[in-house]
Amino acid sequence: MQIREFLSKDLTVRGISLVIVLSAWEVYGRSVNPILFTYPTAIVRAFVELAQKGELWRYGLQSLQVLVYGVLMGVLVAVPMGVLTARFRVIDKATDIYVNALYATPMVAIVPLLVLWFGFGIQAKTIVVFLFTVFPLLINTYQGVKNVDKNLLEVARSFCSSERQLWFDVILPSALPFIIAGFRLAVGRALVGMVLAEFYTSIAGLGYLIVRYSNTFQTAKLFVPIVVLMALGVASMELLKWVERKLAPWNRAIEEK
Amino acid sequence: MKHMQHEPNANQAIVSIQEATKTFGEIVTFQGLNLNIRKNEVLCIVGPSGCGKTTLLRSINGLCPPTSGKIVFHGKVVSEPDPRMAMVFQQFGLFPWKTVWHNVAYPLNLRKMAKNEVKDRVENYLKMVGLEAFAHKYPYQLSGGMQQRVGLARALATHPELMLMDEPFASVDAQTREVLQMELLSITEKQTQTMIFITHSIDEAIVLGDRIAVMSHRPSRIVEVIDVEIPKPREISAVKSLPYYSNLRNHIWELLMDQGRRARKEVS
Repeated sequence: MQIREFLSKDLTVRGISLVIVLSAWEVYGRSVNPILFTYPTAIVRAFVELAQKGELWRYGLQSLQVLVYGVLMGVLVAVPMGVLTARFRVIDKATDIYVNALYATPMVAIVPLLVLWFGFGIQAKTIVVFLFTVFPLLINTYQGVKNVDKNLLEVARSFCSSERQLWFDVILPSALPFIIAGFRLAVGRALVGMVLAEFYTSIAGLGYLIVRYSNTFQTAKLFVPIVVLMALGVASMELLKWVERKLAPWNRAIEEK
Repeated sequence: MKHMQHEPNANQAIVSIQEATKTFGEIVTFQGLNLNIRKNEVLCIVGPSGCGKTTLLRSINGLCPPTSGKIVFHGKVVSEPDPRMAMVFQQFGLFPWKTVWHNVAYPLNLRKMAKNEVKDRVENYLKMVGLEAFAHKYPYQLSGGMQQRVGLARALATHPELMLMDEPFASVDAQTREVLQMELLSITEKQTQTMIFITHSIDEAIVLGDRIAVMSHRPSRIVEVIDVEIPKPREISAVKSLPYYSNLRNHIWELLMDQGRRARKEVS
């Protein structure tokens, strides 16, 4: 009975799970050749070392820069275009073949081509991140605008709303949760695109750190950028959930009902 | 048709429906429909479900003008929504992303009303429907009855010359429904309001209406218009205990049943 009470908190269960898994990893990891595998305390040590040398921040910031530029470009293109395609049939039908085809194409396949075109610098990497970002966001925006409640459109018309007011009062707020969900999807994919681009291109970014340490069999150090990327992923998801709660508080509550 | 003699002639009426017909493809929703609505009266329209009551109301509102015939409001043929009308919707029609306060302010802001007047009106009408404490809640945080109070406040706050009620109390539970009817009665006592009230409940029509128009099955027309000879202010339980009430109820019931039988015969 006491055990059940002790385990009643989610946080307790998660904490215990984490301790067990990390301990098991530590014990097992120490018994394996350090060229092939590593263990948590060694990663922490490597992390402190890389952080003190400033290496981590330098490469991390390079990555972050690419990520922010790429995602920002994605948003600036995808949201207006999603709105336009949802609103105007001609634009929709003229572009949907390319959108669907490109969305279905594994973006990995065109990375070498992009390197050929745009070189090894930040430009090529930003474009890779952009391409990973733009389609999920575009498709979600489109769905959001299409999904607006017909009854609410009628309410707006009944109260003599103009077309422009209709957009700001009804269509965009109604599409907002979809756009945020698309953004969450997009950021997840952007991280993939970022690392991938760094594998292929210049001597910069967390992706490059991974390649370098894996080529030199410094496995503990190799784990440092991986952990940082993981943290980046988790942090951006949580941040976006928070943004959604702030911007669209009604949505989560309705979903939970 | 003997009750038709109570009809005001068209130029006295605030709304005059003249030979209005509405078709959707093959389907004739209503045909050759005539009805006048007087200033300051509550006209209830009862009819079987699917008879096009809501379509008629949307036509009056200008959301879907009739296919032929015309609907005249203030001497002008209705072709698009008019800011002097306000609708209360069956499914409440509140914007989930707006708070109660902003939902009520919505039509006022569309009219570019001055900020302080918007504030006065919103506060005034939220108070009238007893929701001033919920001004900053979102619709999902309210019960169905409370949501419809917001819908009511939103329509009233525009000071409409004609209020269009589309089965406004049909999606709340029976008790809440009666409470809302009582509140609507007391609100219309304080400030007279011309109103067209669509319902499929005969009881609701008698309790609230000054007149009742009974609609037939599709293709619908008005079968009879009845004056409800119960003086206002009304008290629901007292109204329901009158012998007149049960007679009138039976009469309307017979009319609707008769329509139902006729419709079934046509099908078979």
